[in-house]
Amino acid sequence: MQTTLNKQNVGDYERISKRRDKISTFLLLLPYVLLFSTFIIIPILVSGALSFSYFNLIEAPRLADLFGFYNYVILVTQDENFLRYVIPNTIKYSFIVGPGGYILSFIMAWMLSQIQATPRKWISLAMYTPSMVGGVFITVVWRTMFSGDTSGYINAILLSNDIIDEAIQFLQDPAYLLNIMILVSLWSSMGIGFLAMLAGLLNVDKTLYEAALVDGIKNRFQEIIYITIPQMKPQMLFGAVMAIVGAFNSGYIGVALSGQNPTPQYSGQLIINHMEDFGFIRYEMGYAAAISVVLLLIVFMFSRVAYALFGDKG
Amino acid sequence: MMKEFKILLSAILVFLLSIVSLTPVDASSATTYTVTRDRKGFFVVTQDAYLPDQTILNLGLDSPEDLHLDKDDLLYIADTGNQRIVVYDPSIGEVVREITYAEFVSPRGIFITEDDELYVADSAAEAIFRFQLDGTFLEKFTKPDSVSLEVTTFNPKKVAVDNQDNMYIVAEGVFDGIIQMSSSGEFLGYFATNKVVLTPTQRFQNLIFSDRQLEQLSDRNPISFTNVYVDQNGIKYSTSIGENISNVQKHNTNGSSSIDTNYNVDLGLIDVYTDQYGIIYAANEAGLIMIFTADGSFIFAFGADEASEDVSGLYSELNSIAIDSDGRIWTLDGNKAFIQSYTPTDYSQEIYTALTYYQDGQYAAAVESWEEVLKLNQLSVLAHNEIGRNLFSQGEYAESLTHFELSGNRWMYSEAYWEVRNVAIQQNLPYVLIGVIVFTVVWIVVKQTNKHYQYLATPTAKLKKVAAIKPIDDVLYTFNFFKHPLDSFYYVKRNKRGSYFGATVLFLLFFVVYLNYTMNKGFIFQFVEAADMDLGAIIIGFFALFVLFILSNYLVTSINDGEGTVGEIYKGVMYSLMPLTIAYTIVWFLSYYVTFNEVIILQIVVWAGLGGTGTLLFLAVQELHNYTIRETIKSYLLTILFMLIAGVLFAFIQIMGDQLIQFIIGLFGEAFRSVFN
Repeated sequence: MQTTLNKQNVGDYERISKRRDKISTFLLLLPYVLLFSTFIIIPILVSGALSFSYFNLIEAPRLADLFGFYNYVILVTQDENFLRYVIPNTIKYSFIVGPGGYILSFIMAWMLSQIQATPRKWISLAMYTPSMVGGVFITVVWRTMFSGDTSGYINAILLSNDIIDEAIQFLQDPAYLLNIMILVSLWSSMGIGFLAMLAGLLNVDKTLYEAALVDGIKNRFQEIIYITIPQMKPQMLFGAVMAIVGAFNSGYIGVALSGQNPTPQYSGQLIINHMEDFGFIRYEMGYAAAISVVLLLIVFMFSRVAYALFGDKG
Repeated sequence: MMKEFKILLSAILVFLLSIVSLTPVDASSATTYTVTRDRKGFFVVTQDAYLPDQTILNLGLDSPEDLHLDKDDLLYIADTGNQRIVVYDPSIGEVVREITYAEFVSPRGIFITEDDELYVADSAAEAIFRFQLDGTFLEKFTKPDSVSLEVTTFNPKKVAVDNQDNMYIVAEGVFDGIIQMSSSGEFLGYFATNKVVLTPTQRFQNLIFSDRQLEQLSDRNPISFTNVYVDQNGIKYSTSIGENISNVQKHNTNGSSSIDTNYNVDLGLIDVYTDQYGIIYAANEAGLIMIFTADGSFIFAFGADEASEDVSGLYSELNSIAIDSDGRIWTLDGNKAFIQSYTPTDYSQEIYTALTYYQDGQYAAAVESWEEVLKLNQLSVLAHNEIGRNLFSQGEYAESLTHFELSGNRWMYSEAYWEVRNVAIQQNLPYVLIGVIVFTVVWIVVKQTNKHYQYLATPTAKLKKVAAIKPIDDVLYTFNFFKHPLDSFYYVKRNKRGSYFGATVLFLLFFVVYLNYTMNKGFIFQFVEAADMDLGAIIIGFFALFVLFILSNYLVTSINDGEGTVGEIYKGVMYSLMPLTIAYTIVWFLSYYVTFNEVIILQIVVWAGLGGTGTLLFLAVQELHNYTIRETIKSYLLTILFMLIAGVLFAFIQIMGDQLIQFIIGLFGEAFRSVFN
């Protein structure tokens, strides 16, 4: 009698606590799920759905031709600007800015980790500033530097040394714009990934270095390869993903520098500019959504590469 | 690419000036060869474009300097030495009239405007004179009163006048450009200027010399204009002497040139003229007559100097050139004071007709016309290029490809190929997409079901077994370097993994891939054709470089505490080659499908390959010799220095060896002669 009662009581208690667990899990997750779906999942799904439609913000969206795939078919067959300029530009830009910025961030973070705390704090703040203040800063600083008239800094220096004899329209000339964009992006590439890597570097267990020294490690380079990088793999992965996302999403630079979208003769047009061009200037939302889905797939694909390189399995 | 062509072209022009003054032995009445360029930019002899026609010696000219034609094809000759203008009618072969004026001292340049007025530039009289064509004096322009014209004397040499009666004057001692004067004689400014191109030495001098020292240096003036011309549409042309500039310029309204005829060589052009189709004719004093299309591409050139022989078509000093309405060229020899005319052949006339059709947008007619040219000269680069352009303009991209390939025009080939490829992509995209989707689905299904049933276990195990066979494993070991370079080099050093066999296989693989990459890319990216390459030199150079590197590195490191042996360095180098092998293979494959538009893809692949192999080579030296980074860099610098020294030494030995052999041959020859005579 006593035992059965006890058993029953215990069972009830377990059942109740399990239910409570479920409720508390639900409640704890709720804010995140709500916010994440409202601001991330639902927009992605909506844009995915819109990519199969014609939508101009005024009329209701209607299903596109070819079972809805019309926008995608046009994108890869008819959009000459996309095929001729946007794709090569995006490849060049992201393949240089992505890995370049990543390597630069790591080198800078490592160098900063080698100096005392006080200068480190200020220098890292200074390095992080460009990515924090973004477009405004770039417009002010770099547009002045590369200004196309004779008073632009670069032009003035080149002119006064007789290297050129008339001012170069750096920001309007298709031959220069993309390269300037790459330069500016590399300059401002010490973003959140850089901070993560700096934190990771500072948290590597110091005793490991001492142990390695005993085991016969000769120089800093070997330290980095054998200890630092393996120890900060999570931060490296985070930095890599942020670099990839940054490389594909920082299209505002070209527009900010040249002051127009599309950029002069599509010379600095990246996928994201192309998307904005169609979405917010021409109001072809269905087509812009299709571009954004393609961009999402590209970023996703490269993130998988990053996971393969720096993920736990590797 | 354009630059390469130009360097070639300039070399050939020099060649042409010096050698092609031969008299051909065929039955043609031409006295010099006509040359054009072939698809590689080399000069080749082609059909005669012009035949010498009249040689007029009996006009009693004394060092004439300029020649111009009016609308009725009357020749106006500036007879500078006799202070007169001679008007000659070639159709009746007589001097029609002479124009003289009391103030003429040395009339050197003449120009006839569209509204039939004659302008004469007289450098010694320091004035420009304006006449009616019958010789009635109208006006005299002297040095314009302007502070910005900073010359003490005004010595106009050549003059041209546009439709608004603005004068464009080339004057002696004026280096700032072509003087532009309004119809009322005011100085309007310098129309076109040539930039001073400083050599690095001159830049250095500018930096360190004092003003007085700089003054003593001569030849710091900009390149000077030699002539100016305005065509019936008011477009201005000019010639200038100097290196590294456009020798013929066709000026935009702002004075800059819309055509680029800079062949990095001083062509010494002294006169320019156009016909009614806009074809540009230019000449230099040596007697070379060059003909360009309206957009400045070279068509052909002919003529030469031969001062000692009196052969029609050869000059002692060609001074002026003019074209009449029938397309005949009239030239003036100032030294021997004769006039020489040329008549165009069917070949050149057909070319001009075809060019005109293209300008008028009659692409189909132009193609037909060019095909006539091809019948006369099957290899005409110009014809193939123009047919390609006409077909391209009509949207017949696939057809234009062959013509661009035959003419060696990689840029247009790339443009046309882009269009062709775009069509192919559009047609095949559905199949490709379906293929990709099917493949992905199959892949996922196989992967998932295999987890359950393990049916791939046996083949995988077999493959692994094959891969583990020692020689195969030795070759495949190269892929370990991608992820764990330092460890992998360490195992090579400790003889745990890798072998000479594996290294040699990888080396030969790289050699094959490299040869394929060098000689067998797609047309657009194969800048030097395989037929023009010296295969022997490439092979010898390839192996010599590797042998030299390995030996030098061993010699340098063995005295610098390096631990590696020759064999280890050999293995280390060969196992480092895989990134470049892969990159070259990819580039070779892609070069058939990529255009200049996407050239960045190829660049990225090559960069990645070079970067990968470079990094591995660096780590190889570091790990094999157990060096620090600083020691590695030092060792590399020393190795490169050693390789250079060795290279110079080899060259030395080869030259000396040649001398030795010559000497021995000579010695024995002498001995033989002494014995047997």
